[in-house]
Amino acid sequence: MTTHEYNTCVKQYSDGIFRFIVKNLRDEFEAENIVQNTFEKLWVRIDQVEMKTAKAYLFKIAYNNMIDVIRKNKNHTDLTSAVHVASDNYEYNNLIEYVSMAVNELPAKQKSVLTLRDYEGHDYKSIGDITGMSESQVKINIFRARKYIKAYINKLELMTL
Amino acid sequence: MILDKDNYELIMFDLLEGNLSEAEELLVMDQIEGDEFFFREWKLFKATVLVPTSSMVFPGKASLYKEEKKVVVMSKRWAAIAASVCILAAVLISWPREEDKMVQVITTVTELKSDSNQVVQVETQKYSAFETEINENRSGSRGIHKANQKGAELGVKQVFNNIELEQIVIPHENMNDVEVLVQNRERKIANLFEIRNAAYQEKQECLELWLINSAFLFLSLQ
Repeated sequence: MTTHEYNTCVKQYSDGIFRFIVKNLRDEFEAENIVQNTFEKLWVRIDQVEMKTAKAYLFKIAYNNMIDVIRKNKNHTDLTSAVHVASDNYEYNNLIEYVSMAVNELPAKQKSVLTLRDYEGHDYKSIGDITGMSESQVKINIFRARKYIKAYINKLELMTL
Repeated sequence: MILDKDNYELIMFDLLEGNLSEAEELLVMDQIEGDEFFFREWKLFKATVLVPTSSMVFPGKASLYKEEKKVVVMSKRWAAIAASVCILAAVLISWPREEDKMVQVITTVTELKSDSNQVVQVETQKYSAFETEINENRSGSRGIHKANQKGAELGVKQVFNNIELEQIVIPHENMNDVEVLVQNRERKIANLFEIRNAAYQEKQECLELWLINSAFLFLSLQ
């Protein structure tokens, strides 16, 4: 990969990786660090990474960094979950907000595969490459995530009626 | 593919993910639109697709960019033409000219004159200016020159001003050998060759330098 191609990667993928991490961690500061680290690693291995595999490579590094952060901050995640449970009673009229709340409730694996699928348009195989899951595992996790979100929305809609 | 309460979620999921064929999609959509329950469930399923917020951008993007080396884009054909022109120019500039040879010979004589009054160079056929130069200087050299004109033969020793001199021949670049009278044959031959070679080596190096530079230019453009 050339320097020009590296800069193209920054232009094309940095926002997507940032969104993906923010959505999963709900911590913009941590997401910024992860994006920085991700591109530093790409720069170090610029001679070994080809442009056509760069997107999957970047998301994989970002995903692994994110998993490390989640493991380190397990207490933090529990705390934020508690906050969201407490806010269940609030009325949300906006469907997007419902979905966003539901996504925040998802287990880390399901949240990751769903955001990779919907935000970045990855297919099952590339999501599998990034997360280390098989294609069928990816499909099952996406299915469970959607089923959970559907049930979550349904429940909130019934509550607001 | 018939929808029922047990399988509808899996089928709707495949429909949403684009995993069904066109025919299957049409069949499933017909059933969804014909049933109120399935229709509501389908609406909920469609709502599970996350919409990326385009407003969320990475704030540190500028710091990630790396400086790119500027590359001069030139086709191989133009590069080859440019290199050829450079090489041709180098050859033309560095080609030995007649005036250069004369200057070189005069330089040789000047060096010799500053030495120990024992050597005179005679080269009458081509460089008349050089001959004048000699005659206008030392008396000893004038005498030797005259002696040479009288028919001194190669290798014959002559005596002028009580100095025994020997006539020798130095091969010259322009094919006109330079005749020289020397007292200490070995030393003066060495001196003359050094002076001549230095003058020509400088020109040769200049030519070589141009050729090497042109070659490098050509290779760097490839």
